[in-house]
Amino acid sequence: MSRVVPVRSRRSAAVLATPVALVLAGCGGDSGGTEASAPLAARAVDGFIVGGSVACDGLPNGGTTAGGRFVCPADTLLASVRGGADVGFDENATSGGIPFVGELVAPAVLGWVTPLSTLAVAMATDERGYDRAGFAAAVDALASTFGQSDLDLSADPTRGVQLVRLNAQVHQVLAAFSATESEYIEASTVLAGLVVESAGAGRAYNLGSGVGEILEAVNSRLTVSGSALSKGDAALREVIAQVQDVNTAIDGAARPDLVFGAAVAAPVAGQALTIERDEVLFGYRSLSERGGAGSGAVSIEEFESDEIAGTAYAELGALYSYEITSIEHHATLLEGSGELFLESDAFSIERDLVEQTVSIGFSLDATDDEDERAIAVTTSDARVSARRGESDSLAIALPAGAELRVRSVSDEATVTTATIVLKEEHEFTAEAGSVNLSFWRIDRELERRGFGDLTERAGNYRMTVAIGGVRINERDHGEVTRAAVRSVDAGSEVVSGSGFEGYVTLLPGSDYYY
Amino acid sequence: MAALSSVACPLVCVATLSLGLALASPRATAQADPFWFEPAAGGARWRVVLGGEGVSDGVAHAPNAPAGGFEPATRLPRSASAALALHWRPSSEWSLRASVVRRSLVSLRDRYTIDGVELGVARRLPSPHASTRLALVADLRANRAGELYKNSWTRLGGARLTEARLFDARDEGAGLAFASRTSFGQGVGDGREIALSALIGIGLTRTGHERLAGVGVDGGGCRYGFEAADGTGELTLLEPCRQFEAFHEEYANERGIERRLGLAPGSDLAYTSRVARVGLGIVAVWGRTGAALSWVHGRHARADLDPRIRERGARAVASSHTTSLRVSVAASRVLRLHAGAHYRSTTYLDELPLLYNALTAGRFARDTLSFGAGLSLAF
Repeated sequence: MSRVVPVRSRRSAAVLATPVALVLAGCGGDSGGTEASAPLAARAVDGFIVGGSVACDGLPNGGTTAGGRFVCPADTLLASVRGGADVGFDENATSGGIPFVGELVAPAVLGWVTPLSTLAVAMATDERGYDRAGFAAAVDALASTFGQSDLDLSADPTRGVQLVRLNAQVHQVLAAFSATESEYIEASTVLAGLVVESAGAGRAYNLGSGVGEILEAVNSRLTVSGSALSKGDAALREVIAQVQDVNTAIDGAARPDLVFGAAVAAPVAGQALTIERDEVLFGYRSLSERGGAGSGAVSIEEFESDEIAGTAYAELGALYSYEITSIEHHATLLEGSGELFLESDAFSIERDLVEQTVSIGFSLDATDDEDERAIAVTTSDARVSARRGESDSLAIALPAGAELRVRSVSDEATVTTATIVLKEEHEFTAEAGSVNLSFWRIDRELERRGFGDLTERAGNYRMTVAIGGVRINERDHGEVTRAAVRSVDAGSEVVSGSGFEGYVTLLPGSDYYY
Repeated sequence: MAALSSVACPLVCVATLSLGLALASPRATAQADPFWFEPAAGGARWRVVLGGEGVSDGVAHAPNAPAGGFEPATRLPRSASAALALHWRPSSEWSLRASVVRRSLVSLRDRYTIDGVELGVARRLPSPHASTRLALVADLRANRAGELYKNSWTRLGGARLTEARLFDARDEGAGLAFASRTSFGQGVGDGREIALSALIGIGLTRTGHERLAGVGVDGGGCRYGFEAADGTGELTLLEPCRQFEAFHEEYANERGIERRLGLAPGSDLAYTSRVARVGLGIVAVWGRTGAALSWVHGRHARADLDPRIRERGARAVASSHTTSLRVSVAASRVLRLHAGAHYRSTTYLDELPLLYNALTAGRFARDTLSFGAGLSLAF
């Protein structure tokens, strides 16, 4: 039996991809054929996953677009999609939906990357790597374990309602044990092991009203392995009740869109963080040398408003000669004295996070007419640590070796894309209740590394922060909902996840009047 | 035009003006003369001219090797050219000329080959004096190099350009000139003549290229490849370097290219130039032998390029002059042999405008002495 370890080497993958293509040729899907040189087209589907980060044999390769579409090079063995938003079965949707916290994997030639393909790949993978020849057997095992007479993972999972239901129910099981992407992967591995064993023993599980049985079995395995994902009796009963309700509703859904509706209606639970919309999001200190606009606080509501709060003037040099340089938003940063603080009270820590790997995206897009400036920075290597109930314990670290992907558009419309490997660790920790984002330092650092000076002149920007890989809710006047999905596209990588989006004004220099 | 003048004649106007004066000649033995000097076979309607020109010294050409170090040195002439010209005089009023030329310039690291073509037409004008011939001359000229590969290193901002390729580099020029030639001394019948010549002309030259590509190394030792065409361009990190795993830039306009490379290909490597020229010469014919001494001065106005060159602290070349001494002897009624020496105050600026740009301008501020030889066949 030949086994393949997906590696970050295109050459290795090239050697191995051809046999896979031969094995899986004729599987159909959305691959659009298996010609040697044609890129492999595929789609990520629970509902359609848009804005998810695509990796082809571990190499980042952009993000998923409308309909969950993405491509990988022709020689790709395994395609994976992390994060993004589940927009249901609207082929054209590129935003909205609900955050997808997890990672889906499939052989790239399959054409469909789904929760079921993720399980099948996990079942065909052991410590020696992925066994492409074992994929078909894994699909058979899934069929028998979940009581299906036939299971074809190359079939369109958005049309056959049976396949739609099954994927949605499997995702609910996995999501029940995971609030982060890495936990989703761990849960997939455990469930895959359970399916392999059950298929061998001729044991079948009902994923609908009888889902409690498989949840208990998974939890039992997690407990035995000492996993942090295992739940106590009370928590398990609560989870079983929730998943049972959702999966029963899914069983009763007659169309794919109704399946998605049932999933969306599931109670929001299991989050790692909650954004407190009633708290201050940012503090800023932006004192002009001339004593102009001062420091203050910006609520999420103010931050999200593109309302004009004032007008800034810059001295042109001659006495009484001024130029209107900017229309201020609520959050206005002056270079030099301007600092931006992320208030840790804006987050409630719902569970312990120990160096949890998350994706983070940060972007600024100029909003004024004829101002094309933009910058987006993403990383999938950030580590978040926090202790439950202690907002001040929030720490975000970028370890040495972490890859930052940057895309910027300069005043001259020059588009720069880069992947930067950090030589040393960078850590942002809360001090006195806030995390100093040191915006101008980051700006200078990017300029030093070859990016245009985004803030050479004043400008108004839409600022987006997206955090993928961890489930985040938000609380507004006591009501808890899923946090809105935000996306940051840095060219070779897209980070989608919960986050916030609002407006800031950046004023380089400090000789401004108000 | 004789081989010598085809190859070495510094000015398009001069070249075509020669046709005009040839046409203006009332005497059969002096017809088809070039402007400065070309006793030709009497009554010939067609002339074919073949010639070459070069400088006296050579250079040990040793380009940078791709793997580092240098290629083995090869001794080559620093400058050489070969030309073939065809003259046709359909009537006593009109004369036409077409010529092709290949030029080669070699330096320590670089070697350029450039092909040129010239077309000219001359119309004889009425003259108030029988001894003075007048002509109006129009001409078109173009040079082209499929690829100008600059192997030598260039400092550009804080970076080092290790190679640059200018694809489809070209220039096109058009000129209009008025020329006169006044004869003194004996008539043609005794085979002796002394003549004074003058010209005044204007021209327009445009240079351009299809694409610029190259490789550079930044101050941190990272290698980048770049390309620019049609005002847009891109730059790519060639291999992971320092903190960069990958780096790519796409430029939407020349401003963006200039900001990164310190060079705007559309403004620094291409230009339009207005040229004004004046020239004087003296020609002496003695039987089968002739000699001519000529001087031509050119004034170049490059409104867009030269200010940019000066902003860089470099020297723009705004004027040039060429002094030539030519001799020839008629071996038979059909065959004539030529030789000449040419002093240029600037290095082939007039012949190869496509090589003049913001990075090379300084190189044109050097003088050159070249020598040529050739033959012409008259039918």
